[in-house]
Amino acid sequence: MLFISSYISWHYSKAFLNIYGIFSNFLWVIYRFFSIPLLLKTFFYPWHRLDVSYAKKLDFGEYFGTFVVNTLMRLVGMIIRLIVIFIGVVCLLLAFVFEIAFLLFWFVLPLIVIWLFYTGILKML
Amino acid sequence: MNYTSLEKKLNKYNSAIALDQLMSSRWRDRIKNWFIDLTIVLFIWFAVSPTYTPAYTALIQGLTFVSLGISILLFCLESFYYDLYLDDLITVFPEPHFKNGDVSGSYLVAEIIKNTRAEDVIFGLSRSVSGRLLALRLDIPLVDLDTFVENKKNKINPNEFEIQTEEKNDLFESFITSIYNQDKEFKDFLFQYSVREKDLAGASRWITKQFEREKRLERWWGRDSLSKTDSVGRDWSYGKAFVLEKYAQKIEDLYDFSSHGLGHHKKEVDEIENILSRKTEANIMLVSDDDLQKIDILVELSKKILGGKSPSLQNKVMFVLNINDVIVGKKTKPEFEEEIVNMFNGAERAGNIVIVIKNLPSSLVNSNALKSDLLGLMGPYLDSSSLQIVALSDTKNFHQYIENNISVTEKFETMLMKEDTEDNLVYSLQKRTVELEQKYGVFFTYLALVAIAENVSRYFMGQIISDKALDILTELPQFVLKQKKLTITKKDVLEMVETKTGIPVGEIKEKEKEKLLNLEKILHQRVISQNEAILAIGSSLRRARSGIESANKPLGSFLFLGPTGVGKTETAKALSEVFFDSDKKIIRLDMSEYSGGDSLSRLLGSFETGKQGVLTSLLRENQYGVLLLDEFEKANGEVHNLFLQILDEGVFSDMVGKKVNARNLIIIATSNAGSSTIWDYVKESKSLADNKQKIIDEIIHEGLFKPELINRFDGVILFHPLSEADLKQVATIMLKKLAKRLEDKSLELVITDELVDYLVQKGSDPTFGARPINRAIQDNVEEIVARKLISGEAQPGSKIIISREELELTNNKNE
Repeated sequence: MLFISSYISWHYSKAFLNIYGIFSNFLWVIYRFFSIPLLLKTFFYPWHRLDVSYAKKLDFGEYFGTFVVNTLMRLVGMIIRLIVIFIGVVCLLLAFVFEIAFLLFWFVLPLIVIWLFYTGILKML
Repeated sequence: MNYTSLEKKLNKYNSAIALDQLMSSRWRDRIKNWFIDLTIVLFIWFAVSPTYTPAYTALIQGLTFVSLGISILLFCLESFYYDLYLDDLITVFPEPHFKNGDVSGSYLVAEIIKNTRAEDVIFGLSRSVSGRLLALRLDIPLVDLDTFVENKKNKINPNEFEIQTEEKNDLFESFITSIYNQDKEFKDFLFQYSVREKDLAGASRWITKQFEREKRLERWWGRDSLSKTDSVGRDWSYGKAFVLEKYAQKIEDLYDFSSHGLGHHKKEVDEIENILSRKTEANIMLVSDDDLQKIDILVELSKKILGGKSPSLQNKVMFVLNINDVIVGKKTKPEFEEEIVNMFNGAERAGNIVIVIKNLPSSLVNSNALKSDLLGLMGPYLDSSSLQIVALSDTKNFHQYIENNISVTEKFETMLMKEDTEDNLVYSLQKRTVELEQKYGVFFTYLALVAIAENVSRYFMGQIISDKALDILTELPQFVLKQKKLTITKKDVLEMVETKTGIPVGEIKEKEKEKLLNLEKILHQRVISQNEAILAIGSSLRRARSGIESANKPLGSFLFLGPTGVGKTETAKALSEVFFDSDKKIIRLDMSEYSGGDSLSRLLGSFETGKQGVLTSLLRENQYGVLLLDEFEKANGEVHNLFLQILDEGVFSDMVGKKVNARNLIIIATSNAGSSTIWDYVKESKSLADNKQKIIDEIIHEGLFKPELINRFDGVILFHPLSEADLKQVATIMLKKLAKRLEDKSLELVITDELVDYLVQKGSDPTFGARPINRAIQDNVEEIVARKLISGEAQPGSKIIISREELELTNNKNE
């Protein structure tokens, strides 16, 4: 009896905090995995920092070539970063929604179990 | 803290412990999984039932519901259990939403308290999982533990039981050591198994760590586990160092992170982190002979960075580079230099790279061979703010190539690392046992690990201690499996060290026991007379081997004083035969050769010339045997000072500061000093033993030895001149040796009194002792035998009798 009462009190108090804590960890790791702030900080950097140095002599053709390559590299970098940031934000949102759903589920879980036993046994009879 | 208040504090764990007592968590987990599987199967059946088994559909639906209900119930129960079970786990990453308040090991103590019956804590200990595991780790059979608990007379009263929890972050350890200190019966029980408080505490810590490790694995949703995932953003935000990646590897790809960097180098890691966080000149040189130690520290730092716990080095990646690979790949100077510049340029541009250069001194030397100035090339990058360099070096090359090179020491902060302490060593061995125990199914006792740490530093001095310790640890499982055993004890470690070094390290064995007890008798078989000397040696060595004396000294050290030819060297040889099973185990140095000013550098090696020292190389080759120092008084004063240290500490350092071990030696210094005084006393028929101090005082007075040097020896042994009767015995022994050799050629040498008398008469010059006898045997006796053999007078199987006339005739001829 003591065991059941301590379980029930746990289920409706500390367990909620724990679920919140576990989901916070998941959100934290998703955030880290996508390194969203770092991607934002380096948003305009060339892809893999691959850029070509400008020639020291002034040669318009060469200068233009280098400019095009570097701009492309930056564009590539920006697009890929944008995609990653987008996926990251979506994952964060999904995890958040799932957390809310799980908390609700946990709230009614004891009732679900009782219902399952009740209906199950009724069906079998 | 009081026992009762601790009990109150820990009773929150009771529900979880009750579950554990009902059924182990492994079994509960299994049953839960069976129900989940059953639910899935039933559900599938239910889905297809209307088509195939319509009559049972309702029943199956009911079963599915009940099985699902049970699964959910079990899941909830396990969640409840794990919440309590993991409550005392300290996480590395702070997790603000969890309040893990309890000290590590609380759960283990709670289990003991719950098991405690009839107010006896020891009973609780002996019934709990952790307590039984502790006994096994301490090599105490569980039967013995149970018998002890059954027959225990006194109990600690819980009301009086105090648990000292200060300064320890392990409640289990505090609890166990508190019992030890308050229950004398328990203390005495452990004493029978040679368990000291230090061992008990260490083994308890190990148990806590073991449970901690298991808990950490169970807590897969904790930040410590989740943080292991890599980050995509990091790789895409920084550059790629293409040239560097051709030659270098990420440290996490190169070393196994689960067995390196286990967290006991916090101080060093913090220091390196500080230096690498500087704006410029953020370079460091780690100097140590122990490669493992250097790597361990870097891996530890790397783990810290990866875990996001080092804000100033966030996102940094360590690459381990061997510049020698570049030198091999690019054979000419321009190619090499171009590659190096490209490599460093790329790394600098990438912006998040720390380059670890393995063995910088050898890279400098090798690049010099290409006539390239590697340091000059690296110069601009050493000042860079976006590239950090960690250089590694061993001590010898550091002193030889780096120390005096100002341009290097200016750019690199130098960190000379100390050898790992014994405790650290035991700790890192513990971590590595996990894998070995799983692989071989063996069980390491804590005392075995302590024995490894202790013996490695004693018997493998000058080698890399942690490497050697790890070698032994790794070889042990197979070593015991061969003996069809599973538990690895202290004895196995000692046996293994013995087979590796040839040094009897373990407890004194039967054979050696006999030798030690009969030492005088055995020595007398080779050494004639000299009773006083032999008695003194015997008692000194028995003292040394019984472990009464400090282990941090040579096995034994003696100063033999006395005239020439009275058995000093013979005694040394006899000792070598007794202790090291061969009279060849003698390292002999004629100290009269070391009287000049350069003596010390000849013995220890010279830093300038790079030449190895005579003494250091001899001792590195044979660290076990008799070191015989002839004519010790003639050695230079500096050499005497060196031996002052050796006799005292059993170790000394060579030219580059590498330690040399002299703890497994019997050191014997011989000297003729005081011979004339000894003569005088003997002539006056005075006892040498009674006048020993006077003789020693005179030697000191003459300035031959400093008093502190004489005092450092375990014993100063006086050898008296041999009497005629002694000489007769010596002559007989020598002749017997010759006879033995002739016996191999099927010849019998008859040792007559006439022959012996002749030899004694030849050796009667007191200043030379028995030495002329040996010469007379060689010059006269052997000569006669040889002639007889060649002329055919002596045939195999015949007897050889030598007459006095023959001897004198040969003698005259020789002269």
